[in-house]
Amino acid sequence: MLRVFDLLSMLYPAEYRARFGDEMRAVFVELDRRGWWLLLEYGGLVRGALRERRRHMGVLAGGAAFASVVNLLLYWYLLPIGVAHGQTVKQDPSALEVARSIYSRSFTALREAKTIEEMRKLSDEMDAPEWISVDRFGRTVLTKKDVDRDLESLLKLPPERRAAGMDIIWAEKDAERLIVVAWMMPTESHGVTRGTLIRDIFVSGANGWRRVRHDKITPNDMVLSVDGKAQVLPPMDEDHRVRPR
Amino acid sequence: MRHVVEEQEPLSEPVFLILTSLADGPRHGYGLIRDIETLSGGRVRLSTGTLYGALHRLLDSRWIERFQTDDTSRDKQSYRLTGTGRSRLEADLERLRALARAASARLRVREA
Repeated sequence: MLRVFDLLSMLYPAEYRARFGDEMRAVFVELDRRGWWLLLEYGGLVRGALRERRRHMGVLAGGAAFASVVNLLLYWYLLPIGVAHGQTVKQDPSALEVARSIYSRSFTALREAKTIEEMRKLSDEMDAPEWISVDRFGRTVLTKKDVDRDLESLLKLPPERRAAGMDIIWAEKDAERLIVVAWMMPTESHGVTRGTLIRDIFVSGANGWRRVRHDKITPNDMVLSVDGKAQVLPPMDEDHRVRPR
Repeated sequence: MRHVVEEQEPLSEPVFLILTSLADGPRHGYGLIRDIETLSGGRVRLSTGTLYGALHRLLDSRWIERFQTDDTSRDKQSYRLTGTGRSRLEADLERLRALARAASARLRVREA
């Protein structure tokens, strides 16, 4: 419902939106909460937008309708294309490639490992001796020694369960460091997609990139989407929104 | 181009109801919608688009003004009547009273 409201509010002149947009949205949320018949609201928004356009541009209704069509075209078609293809911070393809290469090699080796020595070698190639795992409260919960002690139990798992994959959201690097933000082990079943948001930090050294820190930012297997509808991506619902007053 | 409410025009029903609603104290957007619904016996339910279009014109005409309270936030502004707005509402009330008197007089003549 709010998405429709947001789209329709784009029909209003920018000056008007800056002046009344937040208030109108808050009123709409309140009406929605109380079960108001929102079709009337949508109609009122379109009529109001046409009036404000006419007033704003000082032209007749035909001009206002034309302006609305132009606005629709801009906000619904051209702007999203512009944002997707040029006006956002771009992913550095080389950083993404380095990240994909590191994890791909690691996941494959993890599945193929047959001995504890192979597991130790893999661990040493992936993680620096000072590697730590940090929980979402900023507490160090694992060190490399802890992980190395646990390699035997990891080896006992069926290969397909040792590494389920990841979706990289963002990778960035400079000469010394590489950071990777990703959904770890994204899984989908019965229309529900789950995953864990993580950030890994790698440091470049004589032996290539070694991971020094693994942050688990959200609880395990957080619900990311239900029936294709995102649960954690913007626009969030009102309970999750924070805006400057 | 600024648009203001014409001084000489009779008030439109939404404007009349908004000014009436603010006559006894400040209200924010949602409060106005609910109060106007009550005032009109459930007949008038202003949409958000209509309400804020009218508030826009009334602010520009200086018949109402934003009213700062301790809990005023960007998404919950209150509005109150100015002296000009009160005078304009009273003038329109007088116009309506005069019309009502004229209508009543003609009805009495017809009945007599």
